[in-house]
Amino acid sequence: MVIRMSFVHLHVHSPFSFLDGAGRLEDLIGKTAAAGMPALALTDHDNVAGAVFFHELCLKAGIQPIIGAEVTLEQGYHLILLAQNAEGYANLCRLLTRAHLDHPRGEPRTSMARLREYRQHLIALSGCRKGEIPSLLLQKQFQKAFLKAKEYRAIFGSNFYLELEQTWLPGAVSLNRYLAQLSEATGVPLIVTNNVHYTEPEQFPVHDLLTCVRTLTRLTDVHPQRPLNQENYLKTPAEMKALFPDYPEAVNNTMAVAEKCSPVLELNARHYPEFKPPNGEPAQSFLRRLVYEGASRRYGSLNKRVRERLEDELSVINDLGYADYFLLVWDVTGFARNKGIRYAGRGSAADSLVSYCLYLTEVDSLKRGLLFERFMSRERGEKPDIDIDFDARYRDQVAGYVYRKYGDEHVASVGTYNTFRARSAVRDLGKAMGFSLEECDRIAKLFPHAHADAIPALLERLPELRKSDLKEEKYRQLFDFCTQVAGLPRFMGTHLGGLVISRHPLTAITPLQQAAKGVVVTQFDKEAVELLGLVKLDLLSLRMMSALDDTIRIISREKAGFREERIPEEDRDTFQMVNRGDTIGVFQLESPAQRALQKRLGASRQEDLVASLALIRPGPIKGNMVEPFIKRKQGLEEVTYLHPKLEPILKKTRGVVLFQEQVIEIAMAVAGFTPGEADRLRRVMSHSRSRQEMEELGRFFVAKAQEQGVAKSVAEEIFSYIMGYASYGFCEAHAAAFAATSYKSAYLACHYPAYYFASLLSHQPMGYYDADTLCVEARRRGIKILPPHINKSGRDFVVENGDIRVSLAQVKGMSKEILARILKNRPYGSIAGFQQKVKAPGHILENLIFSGAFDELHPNRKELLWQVPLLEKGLPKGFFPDIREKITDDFTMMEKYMQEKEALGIYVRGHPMALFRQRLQRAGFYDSKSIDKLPDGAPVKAAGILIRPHRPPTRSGKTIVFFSLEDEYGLIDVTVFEEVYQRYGQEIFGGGGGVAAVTGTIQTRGTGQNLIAEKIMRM
Amino acid sequence: MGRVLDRPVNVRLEQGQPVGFSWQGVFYQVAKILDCWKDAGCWWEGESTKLFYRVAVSDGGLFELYRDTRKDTWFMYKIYD
Repeated sequence: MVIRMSFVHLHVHSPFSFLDGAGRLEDLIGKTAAAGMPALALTDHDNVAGAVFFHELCLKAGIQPIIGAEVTLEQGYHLILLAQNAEGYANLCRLLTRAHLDHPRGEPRTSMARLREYRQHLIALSGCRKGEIPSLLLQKQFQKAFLKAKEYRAIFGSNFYLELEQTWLPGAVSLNRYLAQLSEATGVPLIVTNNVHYTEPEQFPVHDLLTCVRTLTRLTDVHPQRPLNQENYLKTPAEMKALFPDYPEAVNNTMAVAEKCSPVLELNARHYPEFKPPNGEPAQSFLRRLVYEGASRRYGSLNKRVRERLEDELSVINDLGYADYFLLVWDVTGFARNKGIRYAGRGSAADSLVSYCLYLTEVDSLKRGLLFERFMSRERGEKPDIDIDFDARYRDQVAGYVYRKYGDEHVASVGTYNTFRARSAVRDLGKAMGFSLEECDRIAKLFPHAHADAIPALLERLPELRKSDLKEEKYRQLFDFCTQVAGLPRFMGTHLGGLVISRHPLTAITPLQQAAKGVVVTQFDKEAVELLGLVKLDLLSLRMMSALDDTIRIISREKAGFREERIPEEDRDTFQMVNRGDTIGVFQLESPAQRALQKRLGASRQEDLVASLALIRPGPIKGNMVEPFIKRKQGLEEVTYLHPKLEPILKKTRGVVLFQEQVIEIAMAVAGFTPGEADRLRRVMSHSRSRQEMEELGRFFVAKAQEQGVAKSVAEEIFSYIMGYASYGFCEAHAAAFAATSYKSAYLACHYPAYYFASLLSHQPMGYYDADTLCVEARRRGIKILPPHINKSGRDFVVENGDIRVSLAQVKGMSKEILARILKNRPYGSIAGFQQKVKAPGHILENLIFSGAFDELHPNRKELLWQVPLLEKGLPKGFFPDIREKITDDFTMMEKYMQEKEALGIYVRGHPMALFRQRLQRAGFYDSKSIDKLPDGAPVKAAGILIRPHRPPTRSGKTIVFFSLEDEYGLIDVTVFEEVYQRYGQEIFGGGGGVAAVTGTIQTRGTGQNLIAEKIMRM
Repeated sequence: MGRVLDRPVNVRLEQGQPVGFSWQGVFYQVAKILDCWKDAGCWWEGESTKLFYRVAVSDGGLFELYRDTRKDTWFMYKIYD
């Protein structure tokens, strides 16, 4: 007998066991390599979600990855399965898919029949105490255990092992003795594992807490799934051997099993879908024909430039093997076009003229001078990523077409991993630690949306947190645990729009499982599916598409002469509206930063909107691009270039870096980066954003630029721009695609505001502001908001004599069924008659009353409310003959304001600030209308409902807070600089919504005004 | 049935394992260690891990002892009637 010196862990849970693993993959693999173990298995519960990253990390660390899973059998027993090779992995994927899809969501089960069906090239270990055989032995059902061992042996042959564990649980000594006896009796070999759930024993409390989160218990509760001790860590070979001095061969067998296995994943394989053109025409020639037909429609006659560009693009597409993919996307958008579903391609696909000629995008890349190489190139060879926005109402219909066309076996939605962030960690762990739900909610809301491990820094940095009670000792342990779970996956979800479409059945490549609403998703996220060689198509839901579609459809019907295709490209009135900053509700142009920019920029053509969209992004803001761009656009600053090589790249953006592509071009032109090196730069900028990596790239950039004859100081300064940009920015093609939608929405808001705002309100939530602020804006434009009316309101907000009538769907709690019944049985003469026909549940009836929907049937809401309990019981018509004769005081006006807001989310009859206006005026407070007339530097006091406070990134790293004060006339945009924020942060972020008073001075820039805060108080 | 006591006890050890203990003035010789396990207890309240032993003594009695691993002190946890 040869006794090997090492050991391999073959039963290992990672955080991808979703709340049953606390050891990060990097740590598990790092310790394995450091301890000299040659391999490591990953056996998460009923999934292989971590497999791709695990595989990559293991290879990087020089150890052998073994992919497996701990499957749950039909009776709830566990069994470890390990894939011996690629075929074993495919069987594991099929097995897991059936376990998930053949059973209710969240309860995957594997049957013995399926084990028999997919047993090939799988190694099975009998599992922990929840394994069938250990369970039977613990119950002293020795005969049954014997028969089961033989049954598993019959299925897996010599690939079946009895698992010995010593994790210091009661009964472990006896159990291991029974297992050894069973091994002797059956000939099934023994193998040692440690049922690993974390890397180091110190991580046991986090694992225990995660178990509480998973089992919806608190630390003080008793639950059978709670771990008893801290022994389930990744022990060293010496520790494992010390635990099993009597079973050296069982220790040795871990190495033997590892030797039986080989890496199973082939990354960067090609599983691209196949498109079958009609009449058996080859895909490449069919694509060429379609592209030229489309080009003729787009351009009429084709000149040399168009032809050369199309040939270049087609040549790359064909050489890289993506003709089928383009045809597939063409087919999907063709389905949408035929059905009249509005869509628009976004992202870098708009760099392609082929995309434009196939009608995938509406951006003429040739006219805009966009380079196809930014989207696809032979050098990079990366997969094209085409994202299409669809009218949100019909996106699923489009996805349904893809499923029907390619078959369920070949199509799935892409999964995502919801991970612990600051707020979710506080809520989940706080509850498990015994904090009340209210307290967890209060603490969570005090934090901005941030990573959980940023909590300690936030507690120091943010004044509203510094001044809160969060530094008390009782919270210290909670925040410490929150930091430890930062980024760990909580549960699987569905990617917003991503579909994978595969040439081969997906179940051999990735397990599939159900997500919410019955959507079938891959167990891998978008990064992992791409590494596996699957191609992703993003079919996104965009509510703005629905709003535009409704607006255009209704205007086309009601306004003679309106045709969408006749919307002028550069309408003067529209740009005047944009230049006034009257863009609340306009796609991508409505944030305070965008409105302030528009007031200064003086946009006069769509190109200016493209620049605007790219400017107000973290990259250009942190890179200090905004001020130079505005000054240069207005001719107040000369356009200069740090180096002549920058001129052709930055000319169209007046010498400033606005677009991602420009960064890549600079790297290539100035430093002679290869496409691969430039792409690495792009990835570091947009993904990891690691300072260390950026600095490394910076040294490389400067050295290479010097080789190209650029002076060191100039190269360093150029790279400092890139560093400044090293955050999220738009690519030009994407900005151009979005700008087209922005312009169209601005045109409609300018010329048909009632229709446009009605449609926006019907499709909430979307955009920067909520329905209430959109109503304030509509009123500012002279449009009245009419309360819902039980006999007049429809499913959607509608225009009624130039005003907007609130929909019945807006009423809180309204269901589709009740709404359909209301609309079907109209008109109603009384609430009793209404209830007899509709039979609405009490809460909907109450909200209809509070919203004012019955006001014209009965003027006293309080009286109506008294009847709800009786009405709900379905009393006969005429039961309340004297209802109008009862004299009861109705609610006060203020009460009605608040009830309407509660029932509809909108102040319908006007803004509550109007009720205080006289008193505010007497106290010297300005409103949003009068503040506009004040000169630059004027001292001012203003009050309003504090909305949308946020802290965008800044170049200096100092905090600047923006928020708005909303009143009956509109918004006052407020800017708070660091010093004032440090004093009043608690007033801004500490108290939820509500009314605030701001004292400060007026700052006028362009045509716009801003209130620079000096003092902030809650009222 | 067992009675939970959780009181300090003097234990005689050999190679780290209990071989006997004195309880209420009587010395009991451990005949066999029947089981052994670890329990992290209420770690969130600062409790340390306990190493439990279920032992049979030479006169047939059954006891559960544990060692507080941080303080290295022994306790009589349970006596089986």
